[in-house]
This record gives sequence, C-alpha cells and structure tokens, in this order.
Amino acid sequence: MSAIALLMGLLLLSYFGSLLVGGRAARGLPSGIEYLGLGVAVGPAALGLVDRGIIAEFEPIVQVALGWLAFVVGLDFGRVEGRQVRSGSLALGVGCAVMTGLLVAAATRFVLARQPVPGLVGRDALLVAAGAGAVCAETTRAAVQWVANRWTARGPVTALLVELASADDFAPLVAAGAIFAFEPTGGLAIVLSPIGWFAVSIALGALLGTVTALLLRGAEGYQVWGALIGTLLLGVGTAVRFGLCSIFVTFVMGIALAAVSPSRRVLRRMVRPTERAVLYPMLCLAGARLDVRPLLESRALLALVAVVLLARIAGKLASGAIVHVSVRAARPAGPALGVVLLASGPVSISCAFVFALRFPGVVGDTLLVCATASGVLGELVSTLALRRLLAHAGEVTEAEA
Amino acid sequence: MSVAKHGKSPAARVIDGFSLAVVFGILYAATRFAPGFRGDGGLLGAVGFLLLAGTLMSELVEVLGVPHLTGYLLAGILAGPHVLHLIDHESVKRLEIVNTLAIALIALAGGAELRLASLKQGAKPLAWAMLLQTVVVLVGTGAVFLLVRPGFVKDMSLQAVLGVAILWGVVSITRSPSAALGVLSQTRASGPLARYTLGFIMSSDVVVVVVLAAGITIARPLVDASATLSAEAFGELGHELLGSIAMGTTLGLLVAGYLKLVGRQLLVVLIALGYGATEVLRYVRFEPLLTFIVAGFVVQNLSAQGEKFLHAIEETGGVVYVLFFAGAGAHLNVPLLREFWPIALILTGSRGLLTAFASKLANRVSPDEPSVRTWGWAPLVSQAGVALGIAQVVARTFPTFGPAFRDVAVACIAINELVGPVLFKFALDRVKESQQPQPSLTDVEETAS
Repeated sequence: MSAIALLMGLLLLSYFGSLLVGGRAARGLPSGIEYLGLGVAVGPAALGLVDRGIIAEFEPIVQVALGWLAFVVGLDFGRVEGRQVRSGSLALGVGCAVMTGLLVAAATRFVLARQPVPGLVGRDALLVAAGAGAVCAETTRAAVQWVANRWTARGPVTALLVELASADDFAPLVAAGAIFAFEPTGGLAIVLSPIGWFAVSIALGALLGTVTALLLRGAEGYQVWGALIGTLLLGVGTAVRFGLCSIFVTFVMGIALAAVSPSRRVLRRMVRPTERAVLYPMLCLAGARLDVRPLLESRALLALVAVVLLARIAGKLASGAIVHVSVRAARPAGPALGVVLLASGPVSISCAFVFALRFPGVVGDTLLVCATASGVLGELVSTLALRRLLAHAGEVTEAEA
Repeated sequence: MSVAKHGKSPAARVIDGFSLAVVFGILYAATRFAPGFRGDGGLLGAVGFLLLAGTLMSELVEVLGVPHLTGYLLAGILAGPHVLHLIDHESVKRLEIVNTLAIALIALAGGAELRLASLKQGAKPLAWAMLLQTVVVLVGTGAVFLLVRPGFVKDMSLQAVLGVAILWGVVSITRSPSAALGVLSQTRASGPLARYTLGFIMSSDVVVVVVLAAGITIARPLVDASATLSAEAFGELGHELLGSIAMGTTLGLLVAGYLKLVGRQLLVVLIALGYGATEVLRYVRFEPLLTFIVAGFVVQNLSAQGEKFLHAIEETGGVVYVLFFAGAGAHLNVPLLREFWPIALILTGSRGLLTAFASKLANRVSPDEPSVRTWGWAPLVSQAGVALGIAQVVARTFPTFGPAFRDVAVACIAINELVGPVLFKFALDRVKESQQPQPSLTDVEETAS
C-alpha cells in the first residue's frame, strides 16, 4: 500500500469519525478499540498491507493527532457536558488514578527487579514501570458516556462516574510529562534537571495557550483554526525536539487557553466534533505499529503484561472501594464499582503511543501492548458491568436495560 | 491575526507584535538549544511557526497597506535557511507536500470563481487581453533577453540565444493564480477588476501550458543543432488537455452530487480530493491544475452548489495558503537574488512595463470597464509556483544552460512574487473593490452570550 492509499484510508476513518459528533450516537465500541484491531490487521504484523516504512512516514501526523487529542482533553478539563466538575469528584478522580498508576508502576518494577526481562534492564526497566503506571492510570470517560447514551442513563451514579472518568485524565498526562522530563533528547546545548525540564514543559504549554488566546481575540473564520493548529504544531514540534512529552505540553496548553480565553465556550463547541475524527485514524496507526511478536516469543514479557493488568485490576478495585465508601451518591452502586472503572481508552492509548514514538523498541512496544490489553479488558468486563450497575442503581429503566 | 471589525487599535498591534516575538523566541530557543536536530520535531515546529508567524506578520504589514500574502512570504524569508536559519533546508523541502493541496484548492477555487455569465459578458475584452498579453510580453521580454544577454548565454550563437529567449518569453507570460486568489480572498474583492483578474489568470494557465509545449518544440532545434522540429509534443499535449477537461468535468459533477446529497465533512473531502485526485491525475498523466479549474467551474456553473463549495474551500484554504506562501518565502533563494539582482531588475522591470503596455493596447482594441482599463495590468505582475515549475522544466530539458536559466528565473520570480501582490492589492483598494472582513470569533461569543 502506498502512502497516498494509506492517507485515503485514514481520511475515510476520519470521515466516519467526524460523523459521530459529540457522542450522541453510541455506535461502535466505547474505546474505539476496533479501529486499533483494523490497524493490526492491515499492519506488518498481520496482512502486511502497510509496511513499517510507510508507518514511519506518518509519524508527524500521529504526533499532531496525539497532541490534538490531549489539547481537546485540556480545553475541556474539569468540565463535563457543559458544567463544572465538582471539586470533590475532581480530587477523587485524580487521587484514584494516581493510586492505580503507582500500584501498577510498583508492581511492574518489583517483577522486573525479581525476574529481569531481556531488553528491559536498567533505565529501560524503570521506563517501562513508570510508563505502565501512566498508561494504566485512567478510566476512560468515553465508556461511561457511551453507556449513558446507549441506555439513556441519568442519575447521581452516572453523573459521578462521568465526573471521575473525566477528572482522572489528568494523572496519566502529567505522569507522562514527568517521565519524559527524565529523558530529554541527547546532545542539547542546555542542561537542566528533570524538575527543570518538567517546568519547561509546563511553561511551554502555558505560554502557547496564552499566545493562542491572544491570537484568537477577534480572529475570524479560518484564522481561528490557523491559530489553534499553528500553536499546537509549534508546541508539539518544540516538545519533540527537546524530547519532552508532546501530549503533556498540549494538555497544559488546552488548560491555559480555557483559563484565559474569553472565547472558550465557542472554542469547545468548535473542537469537540474533531475528537473522533482524529481518534480513529490515530488508533488505526497505533494498531498498525503494534508489534506483538516479541510478546509471543517471550514468556517473561507476556507475564509482565499480565502483572500490569492484574495490578491495574487491583488498583481500580481499590479505587472503587474508596469511592463507594467516601461518596454517598456511590452507595447504590455497590462494592463492585471498581470493575466499572476498568474501562480504558483513547487517553491510555495516546499515552502509550507517545512512549512508543519516543522510546521505540521493547519499551514502546510493551507499553502499547499494555494499553491495548487494558482497553480490551475494559471492553470485555467494564461496559456490561456498568450497564448492570446503573440498572441496579435505578438509573437505567428495566425496559431500556 | 486578531482582526477587529473596523481596523485595529494600536494596542492590538502591540499584542500581535508581542505574540510574533514569542513565536520567534520559541523557535529560536528550539534551534539554539537543540542544534542539529533531525526529525519530525523540526518539521512540525516549522509548520506551526510558519502558520503563526505568517499570519501575525501579515497583520503587522497591513499597516503599510500591503497584502497578507506579502506578510506570509516575509515570515518565511526571515525564518528560512537563507536568513535566520530557524528553519532548515530539509524542513523546507518536506513542506512541499503542502503545495499539492494548496495548488488543488487554488485551482478549484479559481474555477469556481469563474461565472459563465460574467465570462460571456466580458469574453471579447478578455480574449483580446489574453492574445495581446501573450504575444506582446512573450516577444517583448524575449527581445529584452536578447539585448541583455545574461552571462550564461554569452558564448552561445545568436540562433541559440534566440531559442533561450523564446523560453524566457514563456516564463514571462506565466502569472500566479495563487497570488491573485490569495489577495482576492483577503480583500473579498468583488467588481470588474476582480472578475477580470479571475477570468484572465485562470484561462492564462491553459494558454501557458500550450505555449510552453510550443516554446520547447521551437527552441530545441535552435539551441541544439542536432535536434529537429517535431510536432509529437503537440499530440501529447492535446491528449493531456482534452483528458484533463474530461476528468475535471467528471470530478466536478461528482463533487456537485456529493454537495447536494451529503454536503458534510467538506474538509476531509477536500483533503482527499487534493491528495488522492492529484495522485490519480499524475498517474494518468493529466494536468492537475487544469483538471481542478474545470472541476471548480463545473460545480459553479452546472449546479447550484457553487457558493457552498467556495465557502468550504475558503475555510480550508485559508490555513493552507498561509503555509503555502510562508513555505514559498522560506524556499526563496535570497543569495541567488543577491547575485543576480541587476539583471533580474532589468528583466522584471521590462516585463512589468510590457504587461502594462499590452493592457493599454488591449483596452484600445476592445475597451473594458474603466477600472480594468487603468489597473488591468496590476494583477498580472505576480509570479510564483507555475513560473518556478516552468523554470524547472527548462532546467531539466536543457541541461547545458537550463540550471543557469533557472537561477536567473528564480531571482526574477522572487521580485515579482514580492512586488506583484502589493501592486494588485493597491489596485483593488484604489478602485474600491476591497470589502470588510467577516464577523470575528469574539463577535460570535458575544452573540452566543
């Protein structure tokens, strides 16, 4: 397949993605994991319609797509369905994600220290442990919104879950930003500590968000898109150049823009429909890039992925228990709330994809496999569990369920 | 970028200047602290920078009354590999992928701007203008070339120099549809001069393609004594032109059908059209520019979807044009211009004078509206991508003198690229065809609240 043919295929996916605006129609799987499967099928690991050279040619587009998705998350951060997320839900969502991430990272580090995996030693082992923590931290809001739309669920439990899932995007993106700060590009003419590079990431995102807000004052027509795309590309390009985390920079940029721009409401309305249009091609390319051969050839690697998943399950079950105990509105949901929180999706895969681009090879591939496995697990158990839970809480009528 | 409804306040200009400084600062820091970086980051940063700096620069130079396009070019020139080195040669080269989409959108928009009724109305003056502009400028600039005899033809025989002069004439009759549309899109001009410009520039591309084939056919035996005159090229050209028109008609009807039946996600459709259709057209060896002009023309004149189509192109094209022109600025070979400026000045000056003369002559033979009579030459000065493409064709076809010919042509095109749009905008402002900008994002926000 030529690059143009692949581009046409991606545009087709983007076309279908853009038809699903605002999640009104609960079509397909909530996480969009089927597009990742499509990517695997056409990629070098299966049918071989797309070879590695062509996938590499599309890396700039992937970087931009990932940056855009994180930017949209940042622009809408702290808000769901047009209203502010309650501060309690925000803290709880972030706290649970941090706890799960730390648990996954600790478990992965522990296993790698006890049972070294070929290709994952020293710095790489640390990177995989930290990366797995970042990749496995979140619960995707897409799944909760999908179930709520599909079965027209309304009520306090639904609202709480949407808020938690929306808030916890913060943890993986910040964690990725922090991890990348330890590994800037080699040969730079400036030496900074990891804290320094982390601060540079935040400053870059905040500066670009502010500049975008300034540019958008009174901007018209295409100039609005020009300003958004321009600052995003400059942010992603600069971050990649320094080896910083592009999705963290654009996430901060989105938050800063939403904070300072008086046009934030119009902007949110403008960019929201683009989310799926960008997501599906990105998932397809992630799938095409996914290399499962090392995993199949190495039992130790397979075991490591299993450990990551088990740690995530433990983290999310514990999160569910905490939410159940600490929030009155969650009581009707029952103690199995953690199963619902297992849903994983675009942010996890974006996070893993960014690692795969920055640390190609075993580190990147392992994290991409972890994110995919986490997404599949979420689809298998979480979506149905969520419907049952909401029916049990009386937020989905029996007829609809 | 922040355009107020009725001009800009000084404070807004200061903010634009500050934003421009920040954007330059970020790229400067990136190139200084991460030197020698080779990878996607450089390209992405360059694209982002050109989009922002181009737009901001265009807002700042607006004070001088020059078109936005000049601002885009200036931003590219300043940041490009020949001046501040903020963008390297590799990134500039990789940016060329945008040109495919930009040229497709420019041609589609150009075709869609051509209304049959206005074409019929001004057909006679337009035909005379086309004939005289082609003949007078081709012969006149060729003659000036013969008189000036640039260094690379000094040792050639008179017959060979005559052949090169013919090729120079062909380059000289080439105009820039992108520059014309860029200025028209910014000023939202409408009136006799805008209509004349669209009609002339879009049709002149077809004429140039034919004249180029003829020019090469005639010049070859003059330059190379062993070559003979062959009409084979005309057969191929006829096939290419007819095929392009047929393909463009089909494409136009398909687009019109899509707009009528679905009419959504036009951004994705236009990108697919720009890259996908261009690839197919190259494969079947048809002329993409002509095909897209015809497609746009068909959508406008054989369906009721013209306005919708034009609006979609304007929305998509706005961003692409900034990148296209800023990239062209970065690509501009400043050292070459420095080397050849005396001869380039003579050649471009004579071309400009001959264009103005041909315009006066055409209006004497078949008078047009007063605004066209006075300023009809101004939009014809700009040169850009098509002219560069022809210079490249000459360089490839005639390897003995072609590269030197291309260098002088690039220097001349650079001057016309910078001066032409300024002249055209000045003309539109003088005849009062420029219009007010659209409502801004702030207006939409105010309305919503």
